[in-house]
Amino acid sequence: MRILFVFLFAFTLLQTKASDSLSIAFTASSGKPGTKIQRNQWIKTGAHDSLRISDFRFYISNVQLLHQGKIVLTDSLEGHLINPFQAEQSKLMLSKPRLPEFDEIKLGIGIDSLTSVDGPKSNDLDPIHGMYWTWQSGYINLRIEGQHSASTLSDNEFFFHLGAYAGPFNCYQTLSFKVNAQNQLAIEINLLDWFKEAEQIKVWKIMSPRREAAQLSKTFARAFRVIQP
Amino acid sequence: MKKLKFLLLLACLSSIMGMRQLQDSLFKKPAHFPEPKYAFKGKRVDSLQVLLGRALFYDEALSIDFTTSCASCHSPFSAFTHNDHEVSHGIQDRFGKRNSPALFNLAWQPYYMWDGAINNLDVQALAPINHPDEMGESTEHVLKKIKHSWRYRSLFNKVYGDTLINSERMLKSISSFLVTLVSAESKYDRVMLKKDSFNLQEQNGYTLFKNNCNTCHTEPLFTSFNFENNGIGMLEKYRDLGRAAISGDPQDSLRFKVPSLRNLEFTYPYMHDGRMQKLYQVLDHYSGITLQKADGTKVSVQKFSPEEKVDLMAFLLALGDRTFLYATKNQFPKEFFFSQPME
Repeated sequence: MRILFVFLFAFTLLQTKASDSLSIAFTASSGKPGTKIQRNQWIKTGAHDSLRISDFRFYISNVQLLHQGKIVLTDSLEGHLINPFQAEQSKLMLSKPRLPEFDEIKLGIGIDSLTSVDGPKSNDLDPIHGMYWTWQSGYINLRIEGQHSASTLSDNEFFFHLGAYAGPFNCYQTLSFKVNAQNQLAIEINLLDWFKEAEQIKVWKIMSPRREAAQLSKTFARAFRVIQP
Repeated sequence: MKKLKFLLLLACLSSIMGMRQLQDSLFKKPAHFPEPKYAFKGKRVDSLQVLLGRALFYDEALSIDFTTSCASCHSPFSAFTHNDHEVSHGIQDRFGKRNSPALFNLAWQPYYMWDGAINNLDVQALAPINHPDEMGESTEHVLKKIKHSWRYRSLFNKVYGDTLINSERMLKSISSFLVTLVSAESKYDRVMLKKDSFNLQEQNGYTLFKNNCNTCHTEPLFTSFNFENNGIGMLEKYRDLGRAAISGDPQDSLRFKVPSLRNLEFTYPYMHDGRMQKLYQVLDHYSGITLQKADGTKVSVQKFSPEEKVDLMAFLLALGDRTFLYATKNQFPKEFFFSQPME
């Protein structure tokens, strides 16, 4: 009888923990709801142009849950590396024994200046992930590579490694969404809209802090949309 | 009463622990130096971690072809720079485009490299390891190689209490060795601490130095750490814009971090591109020059007579620290590389 009680108690605890986590899933979208972009899939971007994306990764940091304007939970991790093309890296998980009530989420896109000057980090912020510039300290906030028919580079390739944590080209962005408190959220990133800006800029290789990187980082933040059930 | 006794015991224990930590720290701030900028909080600078960092510093396995270690360009006998070439000499006889900087008193630096590209000493080693003309490696592959070595596995275990070897631990171990490279035992230091005195020539040189050079090469570290244009212009073969390439600000064009003048006699060649082999060439360059500093102020250096140049040179030689140069604690760690596995 006692064993059964302990078993039931442990089971209840596990159930509570499982329900007290928040998962935010990120997908690359072409703008129309539910149209998920897959890795290396050719997509029409206009009457004449098309593109395919081979690498799409970015950092999410400083995640906070708010309730009626007050912070009720701050993520203890300094950064999450998100890869919407890989199922296991496409989600951000916040796990707490008890998740508080919340109606708003704030997050950073990229890695902020405080973390960027704080020396080497482990896990998602480990420099081995190819998201850290070794020649100039700082994280690559957003990395998108692939081919675009409008690109003037050989094989129509493009390389966008956008980053900079300070100065006039600071690429770190913050976002806030009003949400209905729930355990699973989905965020779609409209990459076709983002590429419209890239097509206008006409610089297909950005791999260091510069004005265009800051501009494209702002556009990237505008491409985020929470999908409410 | 019992509570009070417990608190007193706790206080005593914490103080003993604190003292042990302090005694074990291999970093010592010289009395006449300012507070260091390096964030020591939460980091270890104890003998085991420093040994691990020193081993990594001298290990050619950090380069793609096992030929080049950090010490290849930063030899202890030239105050941790090298004298062979104008610019650094990497794997497969490749040249970089800058003179490898001397390494000492790094705990006081706000940023690293001639252009300040590196913002924290703990990430500095990433740059040469991953540079195609220096060590040509990837951090991931270096970690793989280190994990294969029983010596490293054993030492990482001793230092960190488990066998995890990752880039954060590797990099922080290297920097724990680098912060111990404190050079503060030159004749100048002894004079400042009232343990010695300058001869007449050195004293004249010191006066000339204070009147002409101290604005940028500020005592006692002999650098302001600012980025300045010293008027030597750009070499066509390197087309090196200096700080501007990092800040993106055209105003920073041809500005480089002011180097320390300590150990100057051992750190030739001079300037960011190593174009000057001799100290007298440096003195000739600055003699009678007027420069505009980054803050907009102008600095005029007097035209030195031949006698004044000799006096100035005598003072600059008093900045050499041979104790630092020959300190075995900074040299190749035989005790690590020649150690045998325990039975």
